[in-house]
Amino acid sequence: MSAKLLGILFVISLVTAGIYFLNRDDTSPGTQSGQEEDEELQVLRTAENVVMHEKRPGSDKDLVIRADAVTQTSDSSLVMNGFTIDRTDGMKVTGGRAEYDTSASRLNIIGPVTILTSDGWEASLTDVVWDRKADHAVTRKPVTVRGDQGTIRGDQAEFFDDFSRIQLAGNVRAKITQNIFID
Amino acid sequence: MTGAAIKYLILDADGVLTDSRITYTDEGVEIKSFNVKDGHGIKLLMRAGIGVAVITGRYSKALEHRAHDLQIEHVVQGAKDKKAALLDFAEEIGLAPGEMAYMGDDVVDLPAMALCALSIAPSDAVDMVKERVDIVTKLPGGHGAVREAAEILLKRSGLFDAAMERYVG
Repeated sequence: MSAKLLGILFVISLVTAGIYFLNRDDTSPGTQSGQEEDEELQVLRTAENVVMHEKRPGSDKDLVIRADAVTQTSDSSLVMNGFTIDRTDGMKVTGGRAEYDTSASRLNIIGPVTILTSDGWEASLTDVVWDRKADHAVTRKPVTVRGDQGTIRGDQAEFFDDFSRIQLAGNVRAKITQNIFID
Repeated sequence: MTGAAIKYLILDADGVLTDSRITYTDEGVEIKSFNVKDGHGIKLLMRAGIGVAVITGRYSKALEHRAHDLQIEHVVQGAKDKKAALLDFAEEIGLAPGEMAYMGDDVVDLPAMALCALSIAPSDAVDMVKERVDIVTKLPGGHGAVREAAEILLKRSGLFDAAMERYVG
């Protein structure tokens, strides 16, 4: 998926949804009560309740990206607040906020982040950087992975192959709910 | 509301639930003052299904009483390493720090804050903390900062209106 195509899809989604762009200072939901980092962001345009569809050529793993709010901060940078990514094979990424560098195809997601894998494991993370070109995501903060068979924890993790493979590192320990080593 | 939800708020005690002053009686007993509005903010969170815990480096009977009043089950006192205390606590309750928010006011809170999904500081926190957190409340510690943080979390989780329904219909 090229950065250009994502940009085009983004624009199409906005138009078809009938969402208009507004120039305004700051739309972060929390700023009414507190002072947040967003205040320093340059805002080119914003939109709310955005749905983006990403068709992946040669793959049946299409993506639907939803965000409560999207702010474009430069030609190649989008900030999404309250977003989910659903893939047709069941993989789902949910995050509080994400910064997408479209030129590098790098998505920096900050918490809380939940990754539901297509085979039913759920990883809870503080943040994750997803390099989409390299098909690699990494977090250097503690991760908890839960599934039917138990819970595995680690101080950091890497994700490969479209999040189908998780590699935990640092103080890795597991709590198994049943004996998975016996058939 | 899209996005993953915060499941727990971790609070520091001194400077967050109280102002930063510590008062001693002649007998050496520590006196702390808590804010009623903060207490109600904590109750609102718990009713909405967001857990609340306290991790503090000091030990105080007053905090124990306050936590008991508010039915806060998890109070870790005397935690010299708050990051370790947070990780132990997270493991105990089966959550990841990435599912938690942390509110603290001093540099000793920073390592634990860095692990959590959302970091909050009261307006009178030290500058180094305020520069690094996600949210700085308008109110100072011990004077409604926790209530403000609670309302921010409820709004972010889409739970605020439901939490207020019993009061405003």
